[in-house]
Amino acid sequence: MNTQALLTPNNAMNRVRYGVDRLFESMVPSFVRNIGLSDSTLSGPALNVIEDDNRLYVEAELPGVALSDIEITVADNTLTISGSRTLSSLEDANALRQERGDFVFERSVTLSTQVEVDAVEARMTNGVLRVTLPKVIESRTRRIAVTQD
Amino acid sequence: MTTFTTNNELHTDNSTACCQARGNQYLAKNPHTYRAPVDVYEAKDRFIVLADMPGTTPDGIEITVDGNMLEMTGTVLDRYEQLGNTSRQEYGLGDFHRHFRVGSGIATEDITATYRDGILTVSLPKQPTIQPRKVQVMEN
Repeated sequence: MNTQALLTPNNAMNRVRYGVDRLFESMVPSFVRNIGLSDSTLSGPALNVIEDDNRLYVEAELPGVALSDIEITVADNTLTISGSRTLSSLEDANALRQERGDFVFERSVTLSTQVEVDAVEARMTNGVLRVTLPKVIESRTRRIAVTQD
Repeated sequence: MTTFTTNNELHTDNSTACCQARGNQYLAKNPHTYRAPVDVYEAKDRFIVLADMPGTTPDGIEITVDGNMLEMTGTVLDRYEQLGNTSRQEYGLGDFHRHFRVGSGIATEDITATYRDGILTVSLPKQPTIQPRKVQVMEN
């Protein structure tokens, strides 16, 4: 079987898959809007990546999301953050305005460098998630002295 | 502009565009001020305002009532400055702000606020209303 043929858009199965993908893309912004993103192509919280010589820091604003409701995985240099927010409703009160809401999120980011997977840490501070990823430090180039006999 | 009116008059006032929706083009005044999304609830005895303000602290939040204007500002410090270089930035760091027009029915002295997990909760008690009273007509 020619594998190339399966990957072309003319393949009927692929056309169906593209249709489903587009449908999902159109649904995703409703999750995303609640945390204030304007870019509808994103499928999760906006991420900021900061780095120094030894570490990468990946941050996301997730107010009201408990660390226990977040799943973080690192595999093949890709960090994936997923989870959900469920706001508790107020008893005996009428909503007059609702701009906030529950949301489900999943977001992956390709890391620019190898990281120590076992040493990755995550912390939630005042609604901001920070994932700290120590870089794998390559052994320094060693200069070898050539001595004359 | 979206407004709502209740018996005790708690309005949002979006007519003066002092803030921006996150991620959109900056508007005038402070280029690093963002509009915090809020929920407003009315209970029998109070209004409750919940605002998403991630990355600030209880000390960094200022709530003022001046006349009939309630203002809430959450200061967000540049926490990346000491951390390193930003190699990818999808959201900006800046203060959060919202303001509301409140009616005379709010007991402004008794407003309380808490901040937890990036969410600011402001409780605005209503003034105790005058109870209906039956007047006894005396015979002369």
